Amino acid sequence: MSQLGEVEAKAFLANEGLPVNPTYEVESLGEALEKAGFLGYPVVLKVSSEKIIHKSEAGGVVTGISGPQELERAFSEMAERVRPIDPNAAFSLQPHLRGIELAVGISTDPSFGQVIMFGLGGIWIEVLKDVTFRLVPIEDRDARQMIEEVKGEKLLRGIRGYPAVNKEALAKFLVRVSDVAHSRRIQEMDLNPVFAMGERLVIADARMVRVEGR
Amino acid sequence: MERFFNPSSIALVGVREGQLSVGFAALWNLIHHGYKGRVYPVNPRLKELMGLPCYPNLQALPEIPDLAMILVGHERAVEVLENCGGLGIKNAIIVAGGYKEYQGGRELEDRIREICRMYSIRLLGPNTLGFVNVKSNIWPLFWYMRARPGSIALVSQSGGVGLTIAYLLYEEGVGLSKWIGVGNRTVLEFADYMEYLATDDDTRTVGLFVEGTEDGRRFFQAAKYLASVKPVAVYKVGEAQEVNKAAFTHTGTLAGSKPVYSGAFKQAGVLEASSPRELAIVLKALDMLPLPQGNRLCILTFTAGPSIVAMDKLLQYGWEVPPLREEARRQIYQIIGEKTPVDIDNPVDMTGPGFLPENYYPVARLLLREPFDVALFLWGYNRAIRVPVEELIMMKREAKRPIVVVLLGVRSEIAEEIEMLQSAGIPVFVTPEDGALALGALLQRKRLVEGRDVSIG
Repeated sequence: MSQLGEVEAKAFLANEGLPVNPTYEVESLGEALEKAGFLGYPVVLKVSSEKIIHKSEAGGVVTGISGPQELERAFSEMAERVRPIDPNAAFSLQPHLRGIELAVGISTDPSFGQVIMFGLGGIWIEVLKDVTFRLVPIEDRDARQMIEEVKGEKLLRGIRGYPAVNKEALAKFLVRVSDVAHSRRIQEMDLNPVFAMGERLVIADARMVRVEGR
Repeated sequence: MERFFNPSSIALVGVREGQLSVGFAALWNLIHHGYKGRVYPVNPRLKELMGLPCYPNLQALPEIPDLAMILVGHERAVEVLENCGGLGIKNAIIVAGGYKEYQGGRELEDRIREICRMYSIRLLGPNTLGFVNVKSNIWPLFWYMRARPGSIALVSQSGGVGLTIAYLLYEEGVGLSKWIGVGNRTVLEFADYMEYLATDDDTRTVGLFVEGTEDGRRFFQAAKYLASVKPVAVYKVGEAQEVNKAAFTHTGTLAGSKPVYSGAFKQAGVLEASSPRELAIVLKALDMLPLPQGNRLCILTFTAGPSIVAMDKLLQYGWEVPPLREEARRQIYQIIGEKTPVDIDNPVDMTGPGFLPENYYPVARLLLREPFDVALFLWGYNRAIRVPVEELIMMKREAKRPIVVVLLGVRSEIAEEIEMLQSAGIPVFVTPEDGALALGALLQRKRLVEGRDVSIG
């Protein structure tokens, strides 16, 4: 079994044709500033450590960093917070995205085997547990049902100035995730958040566990 | 499996005197319900029971029975099962509990599995009341149950819940083809029963009660296949996490994650009900009603409230209650009187004039000629007024679309009317929400059958 952190998981998913937010590992502030200059602000800075799975809770995620000075401060503060947990913790940098937050997951049920989950991100999944499941692999019809089923479905029609999520594109995305999970034997996977902006869907964070040997 | 559910001879091992013993009850059920095959009670200490000679053991029987129902305690039952295997008995039921659902019983259950594999025995249970083939009057069941013959098969992981649903269906006036208490599913699994019922001509509709299953994938495949052939509805327990433990000590199976089951049911095309009662209503609807052409519905009533309750639910289930054509409205006013102080639309509330069958009937008939796919006729019982039963039955014969009747009243007082209507193929429900639920299930089934893509709006 192999655990893939954000950077590796995204590389893996990109290779499978899934849209990910390009993410770079950076070891020093200098490197971070350089990458950010290249990506363009605003950016997101995250901790990258095997010891820190829940990055936000450890203070390991800062979003919406709008310039070099802010990045400098965010970097040193984050380093202070996470070094006590993992002295060797690295960091990653990615463009800051905006859009409707979605969550997609794969898990392995003791009775049913591979299962795909879909829901809206943020409080919808954390507090309201507004998610729906299907057995992997799913068909287009299942994906469409899943999208219509979540209670927060209305939010997909556009909120807070975000354009409506293109449900056709979302259904295709879900089927693709299911197919990848199926063919590449992904045991567990968290894609949260996935940002939806009209037709565009981008995986902003990912982690996964795979069965070795494929 | 055909032999299992239609045995021409049954051995009952461990029959005893005394009404409270399971062996007595099973034999009584077989005889009382008129089993046509040969029955062999086995007990070395008895000469005869209920007029039948008893045999000291299985070896002493004049033939190898098609089915052996093993009614002895959990340890002895395993020995009897092995004996069955040695004699070439291929179908068996063990009713005793005390196997995997109980700490000290795991090894015994493994032994059962081994014996059945070795001798190719199809085993129902253990830890079950048995089964009933209602259509053919075969009742290898050790508990009292009430069922009329019909075309709904119930497969239940719990005897008690299975009985509850059977009783509810009885109350609803619909019948069963088979009743199966699956017990611990040591050998025969849900999937085996579902595969059999897919081919069973006596069964038109299947209802399931599920606590949990270890092999969810196989369950899913079998359910998907069954649902592609006939309507299937399920009630799955386990909304609360604590239920898992209770279910485990019941049949030795974790109830499992409810949301995952719900997803799998949808994927398989199985309708999910949220209680035994809802399941009974849904099964009744699926069993009695043809699928509608579309989702346009009209409601006729003379009491507005219940029609609004029904409509509220129906709209949530995806039904449309479109306005009446102007011409139809005009004709209705002609029947109920131009001056009747009510705005006629859909739901059509006739108010006072609707109390009279001679007004209600022509309006109902008129509505059946309007462009709707289903008619819901609501009637409030009043002992001073005749329920237009004959008229409704006549309309049912002419109508090419499903008709559902909601008859508000005390069930025992309107039993005769319900019986007559249902005999004519019109399902009757006694609350508006039940009528709506029934129609909701029908529309859901229609969408599944048509395999229509889910519209995303």
